[in-house]
Amino acid sequence: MMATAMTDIQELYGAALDLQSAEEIARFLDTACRGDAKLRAQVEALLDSHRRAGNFLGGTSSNELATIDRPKSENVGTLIGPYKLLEQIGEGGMGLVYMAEQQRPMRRLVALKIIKPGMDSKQVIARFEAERQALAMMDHPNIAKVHDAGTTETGRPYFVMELVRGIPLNEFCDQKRLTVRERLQLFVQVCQAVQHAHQKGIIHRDLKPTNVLVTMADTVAFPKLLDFGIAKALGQSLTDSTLHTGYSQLVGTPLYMSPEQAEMNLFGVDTRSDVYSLGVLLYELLTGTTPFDKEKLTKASFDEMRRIIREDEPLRPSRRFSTLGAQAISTISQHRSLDERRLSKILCGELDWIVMKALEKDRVRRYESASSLAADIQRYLSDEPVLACPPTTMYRFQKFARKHRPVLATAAAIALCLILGTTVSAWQAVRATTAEAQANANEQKAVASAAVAEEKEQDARKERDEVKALNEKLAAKEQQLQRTLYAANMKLAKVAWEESAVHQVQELIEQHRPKTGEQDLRGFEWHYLHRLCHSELLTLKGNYVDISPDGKLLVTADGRGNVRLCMAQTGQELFALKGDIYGGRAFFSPDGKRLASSTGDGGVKVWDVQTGKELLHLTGGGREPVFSPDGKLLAAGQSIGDGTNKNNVASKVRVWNAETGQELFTCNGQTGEIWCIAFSPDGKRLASGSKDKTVRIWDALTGQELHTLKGHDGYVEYLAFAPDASRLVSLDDRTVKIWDVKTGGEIFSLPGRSRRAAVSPDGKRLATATDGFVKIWDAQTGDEIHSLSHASYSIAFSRDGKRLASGSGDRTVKVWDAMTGQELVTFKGHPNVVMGILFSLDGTRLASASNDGTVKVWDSTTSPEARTLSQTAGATRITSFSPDGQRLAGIVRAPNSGYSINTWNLKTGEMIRTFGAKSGEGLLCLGASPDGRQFAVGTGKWDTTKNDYVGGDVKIVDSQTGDELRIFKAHSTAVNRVVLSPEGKTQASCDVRVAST
Amino acid sequence: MKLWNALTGELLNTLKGHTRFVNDIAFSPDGKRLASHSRDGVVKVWDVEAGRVVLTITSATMLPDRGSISFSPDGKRLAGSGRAVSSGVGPGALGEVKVWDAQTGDELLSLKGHSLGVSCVVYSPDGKRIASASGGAAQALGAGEVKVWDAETGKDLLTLKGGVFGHRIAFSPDGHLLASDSGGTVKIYDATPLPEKP
Repeated sequence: MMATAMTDIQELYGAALDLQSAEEIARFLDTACRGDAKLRAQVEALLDSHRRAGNFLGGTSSNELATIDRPKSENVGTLIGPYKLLEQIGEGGMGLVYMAEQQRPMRRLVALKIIKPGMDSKQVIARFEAERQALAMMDHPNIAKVHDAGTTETGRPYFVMELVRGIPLNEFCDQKRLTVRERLQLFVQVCQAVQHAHQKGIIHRDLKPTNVLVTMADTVAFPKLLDFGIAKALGQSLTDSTLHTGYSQLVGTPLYMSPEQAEMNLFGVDTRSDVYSLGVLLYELLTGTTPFDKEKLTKASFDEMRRIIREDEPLRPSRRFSTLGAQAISTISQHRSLDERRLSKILCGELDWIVMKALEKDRVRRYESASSLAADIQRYLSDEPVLACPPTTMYRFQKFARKHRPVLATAAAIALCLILGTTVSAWQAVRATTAEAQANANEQKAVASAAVAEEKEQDARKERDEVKALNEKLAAKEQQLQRTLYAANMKLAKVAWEESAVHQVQELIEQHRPKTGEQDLRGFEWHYLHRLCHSELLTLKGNYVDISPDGKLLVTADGRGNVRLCMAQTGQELFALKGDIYGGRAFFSPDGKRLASSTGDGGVKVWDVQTGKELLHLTGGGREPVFSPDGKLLAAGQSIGDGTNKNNVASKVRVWNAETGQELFTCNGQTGEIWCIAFSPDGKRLASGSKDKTVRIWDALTGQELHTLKGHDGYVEYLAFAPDASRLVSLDDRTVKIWDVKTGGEIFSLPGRSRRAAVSPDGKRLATATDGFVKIWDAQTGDEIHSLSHASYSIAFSRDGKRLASGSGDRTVKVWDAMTGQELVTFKGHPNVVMGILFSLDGTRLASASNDGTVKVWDSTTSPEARTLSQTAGATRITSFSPDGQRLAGIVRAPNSGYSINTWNLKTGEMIRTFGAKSGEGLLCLGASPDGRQFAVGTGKWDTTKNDYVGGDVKIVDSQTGDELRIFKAHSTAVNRVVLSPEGKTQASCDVRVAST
Repeated sequence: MKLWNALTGELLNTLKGHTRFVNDIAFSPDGKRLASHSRDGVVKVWDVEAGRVVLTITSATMLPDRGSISFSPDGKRLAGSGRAVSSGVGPGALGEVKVWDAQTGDELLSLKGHSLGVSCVVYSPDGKRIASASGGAAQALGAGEVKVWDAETGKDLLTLKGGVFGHRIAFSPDGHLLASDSGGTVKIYDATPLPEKP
């Protein structure tokens, strides 16, 4: 409380000191002290002592100021605390601004503002300190930081700020000839910065163009707000800045001052005062002039100035602009890169209202925050209706009534008298008559004023209507543009889909997901493409996948040691297992009860699938682990280098009891790292391929080496036994070789450069990814059967051997008929090369792993692009869907058999019913009744001698039973088309019509 | 063309007027009008009750293949295969879909983009889209396509490739599925909206 009182006194004292005449001081104190005699006495006592000290009130002439503002003690080169003054860069109402070099704790350039004498430094610094924490919390790119404050040796307060080299906002805009739109965009940034400060509890109190500097960051204009916290510290009300009338720049502040600030309501200033100042800034940015004339305000006395700010309604920007001289109009328009008439037009309407709402005298009617002002400007910029609007009739009337309250009161009283007139006495009547004359005059005045108000309102209404019409036109145009853009993007999205760039499809369509308030342009095409983008059943993390033998579980590994076990249907994660360090893959044991993964550090871990519990951790041999077909053994490679050469290693295959972890034997002999291991299906043999370019065949019971297969030119990457274990397929980085397991002799090798190989489950075929094709070979002879165009990196047969899947670098997964080579389905969605692929045991699911780190699961039987209904091969003609959309009917003429009417279940794609036609009868067209209970079918009778149709009937058939209900025999040729009228929606209706032709 | 009462089998009317084979017929949604599309290149709209022509449109296709006509769900418009730009014969003909005012016969839109004759034109149940199928002749097997258009602006929104000669298409009642008997099999294109993620 004491502190506040002190502040009060100090502020009033400071303010009064700057006033010019004793009369003004008296008036100032009348207002400011508000009858607080004690306060006033204290201030007056201070003033008195000041006067006695010889610094006579009002004696601060401009000359004197100039000398005071350039004290010899603080020149360039002077050291103030840790700051060395380098150059004077500015001069403001409050003092001088220097560029200074901070010497410690860090060297940097700062701006240092030294406040002119007359302020109580202690108070200033105390106030600054009080707000310092809040200032420190202000962290906004558009706000210059205030680093520090202190007192010079001469006792003057100074502030240290971030050095901003910029141009005042309005000058910048004029120099760069920014358009109105560009100005508004810049201004929005200013509002947002002010909002930021407000949110931290800091009010600027002195926003003006010189406090908003614009710098260029690259080619982008970047406004910076200066002096946050300084006006407050200076205890600035109106006082400090009003009085030095000799300096035009000093008068700057009242031009931007809110009415409540002008009222010298020292403690009633809130964030909305800054909104007002922003309104003035905006006014100036748009019109090139402030709401109140600078000259007029400069010349006005202190009281008159306050009155103007508090009471005078400024002209709307568009009006103000048109009142300026021709020369000014021309200059201002040029600065905005516009011709004169256009600028006036642009300002007129919504921009007028926005500015005027910010400039409302009553702060309750202003924008409640800087951000809501910014939001309205943004609405204007994006052609949305603004919140600001011309004053309503009621508001206008209220304003009018306030101004003319006495007149209106009389008018009302007289009107009442007139009503009562018939019953009053003659005397009263005489009086009333006299008064009436007066009242009439007043009333006429009032009516005239009201008429003016009405006229103005009509103007505003007309303006609003014009703007509204324009807005509607713009909205319609935008609608049209939106539709054009939509159509273009849908087309692009389809092209992207065809190029398998699913993420691009997604980007394109997501642009058209309507935001709140936007029209939904989406239709069939959007949802179709959207489904295509999500055609996989599941997406999981990882780049390796295995499906459990029962098809219920999936395991993925991401190569970073993360192994995840999931439900194959839902993708729900059951366990996330950690294989110590980077492990390549994770896979199920043949019984599906265990899960194994190499740990990458030369070990293998085995977990229980049910519990996720670690069962085994085998160390020394973590390369390419594999279970024996019965699940009892686990084999993995181990390499022991001699330390000199990475390639010069001794390798062995270690074989453990997969349940106990007991090592059974090792297969020694290979000299390069083991790259692949395979058990023969009968479990009797073990083969290993190595970097030493050999394949070894071992006895899987003893570990004894049986054969060394030589002939590969590269590291052996892949091995697979034929189902009967008689042959072995091996692949190095290029060539596929087939070996006789018994003799160890090479049978043949396949031509071309192969990346992958797979043996069909029946062992009769081989599939390879060779030279950009998927090739299918006869496993016995090595003859090429099919060559399918797909540059694949992974291939897999379905377990029944009927289908083959391939994953490609073109980001697609394809499923082929392994017998005919026909392409069945293409899946898209992986953003990168598909490296691994595998069918579920029942063949319905296909899992693919990509080096993008995702595993996707697909329905291997259904094309995402279109479902194909079963048994529709041959000429098929469809009709409408059933009313519930669940079924579809059509005529099928299957090859080598007659016509039939078929009905399919759309969910399953299966045929539900089929009704065959009579032999020799052609079914040519089909219609369905609106309720779906009846079909109308048009027939044709083919005459083989005439080679033409010789007649046709229309039959009504029960869609459930196939019974013929009615026959219309009438056409002399085949019935080409039959439709049922949409009227008879119920069976009872007798108005169902059939039209045929 | 003949009109029967479907329940009684009574022949109501025989509509005569087209000079050539009638490709397609369609009832208006209220069942009071019947539109017919003939190989003579004319679309006629008939008053079903009176059995007389109320509108004749002459800008329809004259392809030897199938032509098609469809009422919009509000009955105010007709969409059908229109007269092709080129000779209109054979696989080289450019197929066009036209939208006419069903009252005045004025041509409102011309949907260009099919490279073959248009065999089927249907409105989506909400009337916002038009789907059309094109296929030229047997030798153009596989070159046919289904297109989805904005029914208001006529903009081409989606092309589904791979059809054959003279196939037909149909929207499911909810407009989410599009069936096409292209390629000798029936294909279902699914645009059922996916559930929004919460």
